[in-house]
Amino acid sequence: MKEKKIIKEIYRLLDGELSPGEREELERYIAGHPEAQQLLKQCENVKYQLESLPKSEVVPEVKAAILNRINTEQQIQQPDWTDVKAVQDFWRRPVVRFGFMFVTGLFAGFFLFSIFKTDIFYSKNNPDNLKGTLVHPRSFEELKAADLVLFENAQIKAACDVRYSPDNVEIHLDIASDQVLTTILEFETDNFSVYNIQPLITNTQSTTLVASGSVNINTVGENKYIVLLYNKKSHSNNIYFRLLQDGREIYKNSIMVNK
Amino acid sequence: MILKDDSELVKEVIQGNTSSYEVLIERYQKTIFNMVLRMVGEAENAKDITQDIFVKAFEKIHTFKFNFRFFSWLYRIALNETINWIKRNPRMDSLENHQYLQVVETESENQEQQHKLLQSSLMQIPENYRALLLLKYYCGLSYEEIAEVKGISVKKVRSRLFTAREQLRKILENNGLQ
Repeated sequence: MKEKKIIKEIYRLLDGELSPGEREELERYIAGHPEAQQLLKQCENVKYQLESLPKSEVVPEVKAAILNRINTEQQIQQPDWTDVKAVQDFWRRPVVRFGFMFVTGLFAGFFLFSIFKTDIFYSKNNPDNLKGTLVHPRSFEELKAADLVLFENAQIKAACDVRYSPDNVEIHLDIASDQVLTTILEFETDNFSVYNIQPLITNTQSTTLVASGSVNINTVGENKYIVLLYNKKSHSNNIYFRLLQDGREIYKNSIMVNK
Repeated sequence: MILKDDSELVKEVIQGNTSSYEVLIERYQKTIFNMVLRMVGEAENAKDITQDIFVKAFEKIHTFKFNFRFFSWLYRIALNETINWIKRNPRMDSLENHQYLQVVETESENQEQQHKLLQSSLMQIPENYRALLLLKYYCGLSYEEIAEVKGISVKKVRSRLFTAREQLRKILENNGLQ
């Protein structure tokens, strides 16, 4: 039996996953092979060492600190009701009411205009007549949220906001770095494929490379991209978000889509 | 006293009952703290990260899906926060850096030294593999539970755990713990 296979079987033995027949066969093999006995001893030791690591009690100050932070954040979010009366008196004034209606009407008009005349703005930027949320960016909020992953250090700030529908996955990348940063989105091609990549804010130093199962974006400075993928399968799948600098991976996280 | 299950407590927290969240903290803080401690190797940082984990869980609790188990969801937040912290704070591995608490006062000097060597060996393994080893053997989760926490298949858990165990086995051999 090859060593790797033996070790796998030994771990299955230690995890109690072998059938009686398999167990007997393995024990017979181990009995006849001293090197296998040594491996068994080592594998048992790995299990034993980890299981015997001591567990600390948590000092009470940890829980107190957690509750204090939660209570502080809740207080910050509490509205201050003391100025309600003053606000109500203000809103009764005719000038204020008329002004408010005028401004509301302006916003409503602009909103309706943007819905019905969207092709004026986006047909120029999307000569391929893209369908989906790139044409109607406000509908990104209507997609189902997968996750928002954030990374920040002294030189880099990166955000990867992933949302999806049964047909598409839309990824908003917001990247800011002092030096060249490589952002990689990786996925299995059975589950996703690239439909389009739309740079929103970029510069001459930014490059994009699309390969089978990955999107690589090299950037310096502030950049924003929208990456649109076909969502081929309905079951849960992961997209991997990686950051590399000087060829070295500095961050990796996975985002589950179709939860 | 009837103990409420996690889902009931989560519902109460979502409805605004912070005292139910205290119960959840009491229930899981030891496990989470110790897992974080073994991931980062230092008690003060582990305490800070544990706080961040529970605060983040509270902030996101309204997104909790009740078809998941609460502890899987909490572990996932814990691992993400811990691994993010590790990547932001790379450190030189040395025995002197591992200032973890001595739990059992009767722990002998030999045992303490052995545990320090083991912790040092763990710190030499990439954090994603380290997390799998701790979830399986230190926290006692099953393969299915680990798969739920990590959001990957059981098959991938087995495959990666095999790699993690092999890495640790070889490091323990080099460090004289075999």
